[in-house]
Amino acid sequence: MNRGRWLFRAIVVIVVLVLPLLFESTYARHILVSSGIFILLSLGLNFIMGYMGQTPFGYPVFFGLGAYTTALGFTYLGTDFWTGLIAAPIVAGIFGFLIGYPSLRLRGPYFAIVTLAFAEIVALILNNWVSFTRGSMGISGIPHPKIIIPGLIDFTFNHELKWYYLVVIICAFYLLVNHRLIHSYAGEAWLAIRENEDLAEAVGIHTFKWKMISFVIGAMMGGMAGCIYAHYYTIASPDLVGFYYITTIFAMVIIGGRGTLLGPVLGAILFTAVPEYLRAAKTMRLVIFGLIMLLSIIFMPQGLNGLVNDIRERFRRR
Amino acid sequence: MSSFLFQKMELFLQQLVNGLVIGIIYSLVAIGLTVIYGIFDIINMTQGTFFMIGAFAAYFLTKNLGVSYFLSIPLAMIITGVMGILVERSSVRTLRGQQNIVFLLSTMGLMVLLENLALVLWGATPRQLPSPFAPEPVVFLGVFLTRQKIFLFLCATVMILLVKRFIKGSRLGRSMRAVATDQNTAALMGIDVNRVFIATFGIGAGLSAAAGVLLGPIFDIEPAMGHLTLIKAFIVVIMGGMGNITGAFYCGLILGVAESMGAGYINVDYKDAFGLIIMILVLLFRPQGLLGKGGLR
Repeated sequence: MNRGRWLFRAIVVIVVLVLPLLFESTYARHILVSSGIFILLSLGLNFIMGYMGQTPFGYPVFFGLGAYTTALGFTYLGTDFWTGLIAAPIVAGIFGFLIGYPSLRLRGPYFAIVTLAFAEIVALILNNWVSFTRGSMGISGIPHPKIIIPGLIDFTFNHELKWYYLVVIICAFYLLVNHRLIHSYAGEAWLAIRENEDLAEAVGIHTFKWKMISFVIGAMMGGMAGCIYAHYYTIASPDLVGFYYITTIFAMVIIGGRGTLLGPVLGAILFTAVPEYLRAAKTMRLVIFGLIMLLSIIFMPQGLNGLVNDIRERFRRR
Repeated sequence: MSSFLFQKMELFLQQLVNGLVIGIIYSLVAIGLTVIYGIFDIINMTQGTFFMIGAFAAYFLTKNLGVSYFLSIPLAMIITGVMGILVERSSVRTLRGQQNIVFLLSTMGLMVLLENLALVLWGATPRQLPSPFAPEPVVFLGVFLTRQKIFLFLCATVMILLVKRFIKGSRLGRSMRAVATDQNTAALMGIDVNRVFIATFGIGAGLSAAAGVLLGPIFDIEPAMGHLTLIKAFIVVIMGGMGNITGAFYCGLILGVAESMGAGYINVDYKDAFGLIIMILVLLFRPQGLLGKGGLR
């Protein structure tokens, strides 16, 4: 049994490493890289929604803040990717604390909508403070990351294959952090809060504190994903905080399967690849996208992860 | 000096009246949203889409079929009401028993679908409904008002009063209130719950559509017009207390006036932020809403 599991893991690792080599076209590789970035984002949302159990409807605000942190840092201070990679989660985390402090006292739909309100306010500022953020045009020309050690290494992440491995490493880091946190005392506290907040409070869990910690960590994950997005697409625009991303990211996590690690990964891959391949359908693209969203919720209430579990069960029984 | 004060006063009154006109539109959409929340305990993301569909249905009826504007109001309401019932059938009833968040997503999927369908059919260029009234404004106490705006305000007020009476007095309205209080007990008492569900979504969609048709000759209509309206309706519903119809009515007006004053006296670019800030304050200090819960109940 144990040996089988290790074999399975080895196969997964090999598949992940070899996958981009199977596709010759840069377009397919581009889809792989952007799937990776959305895996990061949906793991961050899943961390709040799947484990702590509250629904932050304005979650993409952290994605946008992360992207703008590194974009503005580059424009005004000349910082690079690696500085952004550290600064973006810090800024997003601070905003997470500021947004979470008033809104985490609320529950359910109230919490969902008040976070959306904060996101809208940030979007308004990004759009209207033209002298600082360049308004709805966004900030473009953000450079690709470089690793330079004088005389030894001069390496630029300038095409999809290099980006792929960078994103895979960061994804692995995210999954590891997620896994460790969930299987700690904190993880148990979050599960208790998700299942019954009043009872959790009654058995001595400081619910507000743990909700805040979860929210801030989730925000930091979103911020880091935003920084990576900005350097890969070389642009940060107010759209990142808008309705399209809210729809997509929630579709990824819920249709993937909340409260699991595999679910958001599968959801992110599906909902990055599907809209890209639907580009051929031009104007009908988002109509079909909405239809897929609706149908998958109706027919797969447990998400893709539930589907995978069903298949696994069927194999075991044999 | 006194003429300066007089001018200030006129400006204030003008902002107030403009705020009330847009505010009653928020009330109409928000009442639909709050009724649906009261009955189903879900947040219906297609509420803004109904607003858009209503406006486009009226556009199609008046421009392509030559129906008069006045007739297009009830027709658009009926068309959108039927759409609302279809939404209930397809993405709410099929998921009964699931968690709230699932409905949020299923209606969001429909929102994306319907909005982009409108984009395919009509394109993104903003259009306007033709107003049946003369464009010259009526001047009263130095306040300029078009006849369309006066009609809008009166028509919306009548609709809101009718809906209130309906829910308070009619048999179906009483069933709705019973279902809002306790669905299972209501079903045990012989109330046809499915009929209540259909009526709720029909009314919710119809009211939103009416708002779209009434505002159509004043503002542009375009497929994405529902987004901001949906957020405004959220704000109003939370300010008024979720499920509270009277609260939604007053708070719609309050929001409209607050926005108009904010745009006039503070900063026009951040017009939409004032409502959001008010909502956050209400949630922090009076989470049960300004008027408390209990309109449907």
